[in-house]
Amino acid sequence: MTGRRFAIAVLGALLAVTAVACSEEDHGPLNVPASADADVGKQLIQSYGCGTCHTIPDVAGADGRVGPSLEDFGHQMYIAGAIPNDWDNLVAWLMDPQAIEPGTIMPNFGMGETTAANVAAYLASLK
Amino acid sequence: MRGARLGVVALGLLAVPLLSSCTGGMLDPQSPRADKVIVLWWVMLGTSSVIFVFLCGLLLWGLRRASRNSARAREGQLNRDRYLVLGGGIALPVTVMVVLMVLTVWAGRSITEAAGSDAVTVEVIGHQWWWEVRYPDTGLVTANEIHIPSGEPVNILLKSEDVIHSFWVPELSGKIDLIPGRTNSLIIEASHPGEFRGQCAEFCGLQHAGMRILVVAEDRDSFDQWVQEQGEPAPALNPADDAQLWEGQQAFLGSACVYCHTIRGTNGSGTLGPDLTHIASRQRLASNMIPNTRGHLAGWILDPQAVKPGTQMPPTQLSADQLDALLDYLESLK
Repeated sequence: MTGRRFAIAVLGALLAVTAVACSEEDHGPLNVPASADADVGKQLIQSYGCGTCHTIPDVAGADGRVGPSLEDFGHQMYIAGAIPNDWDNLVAWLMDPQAIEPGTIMPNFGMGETTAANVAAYLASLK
Repeated sequence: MRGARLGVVALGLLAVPLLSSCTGGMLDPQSPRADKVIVLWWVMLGTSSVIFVFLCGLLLWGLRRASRNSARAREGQLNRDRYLVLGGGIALPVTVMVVLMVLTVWAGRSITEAAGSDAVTVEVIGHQWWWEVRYPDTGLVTANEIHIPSGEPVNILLKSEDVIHSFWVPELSGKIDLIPGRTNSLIIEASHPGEFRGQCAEFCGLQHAGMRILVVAEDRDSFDQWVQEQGEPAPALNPADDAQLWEGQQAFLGSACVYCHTIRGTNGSGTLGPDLTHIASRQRLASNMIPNTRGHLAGWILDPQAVKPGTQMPPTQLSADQLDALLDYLESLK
């Protein structure tokens, strides 16, 4: 009995370590700073109405098809097919899409840096 | 036997808290008129429940009696049975029907009786699938959002532009159909300020369920102020001072928008879709389907069919600059 219990504990510990290692490896190019809050970002996405143009997981009514689906956005390599999807670029893109990719139909929402960072944190979590 | 009867009673008892725990909606009236409708509703539910349980009992009793009784025993009971048939088959239904009819007329009158001559009148015109809202006293036109002064009865005149719709704001009143070619009327009254949601209640096509209406009840001063603001035309723009808004107005006037929408104060005077003169003052878009925020507005303009499949509004193709300016312009129309 004791032997089996010990084995289970060891297996459990191993699994936990693997899971942690995986999630770290999974982080991708989007290193989200601790100050950005994905939950707040999700609420902002809801209130701006991003979901009328984009399909966004776990956001009510977000099944738009004007722009690309944001499912798996945390793994997406480029933003707007133009610039690499890293943290600074993503925040800059949200603050002024036209400055990054002139001619994109995505309107300017006048987001400040904190707002954009919170939205970016939620987008980075989509994978 | 006893188990079955117990089951029926238990089910009935369960239904009551389930129904009364619903918040908002018809069972939570916020109006002296809806109060009467709900009295009628409970009386009808109660009466029907009692009759239902009584009939179930009678049926079971009859089944048991029939299997036990012989033909000989039945002879002497004919007389008693006659009273049962006359009483239960004629006297009881007549009494119940008369009482319910009197109550129905009483509740019906309270929601259709004309309010005083100084009461606010609102004309509501049903379209597939949105509500045109007019205030004939002031000439004001808006859509999908009715403002009323709280604590006052308000006349609602109901018309339809195409098919039969039905106007129902459950917390404020009963419902009445909008019939093409005639005008129906309804009185609504909110006992306190607040927002009350309504819904088309007669199937009218693909987006019937997406034909929602919002009633905003506010105190008399706020209401008067709202009426005054809504009566103003859109501000005149000049390209030198308000370049971005001017661009937006040009986008509106130069694209398909103008064929269906009116913005008073501009050349836009289409009447197929809602009046947009004060679009930014409204809480929601697309007949209250989505909140009126920049992202929703953009998505609605570019791809309305995704938000509301079947809506008469076609997608609009705009350049990035046009869209940005148009959004700024529409958001300025408070």
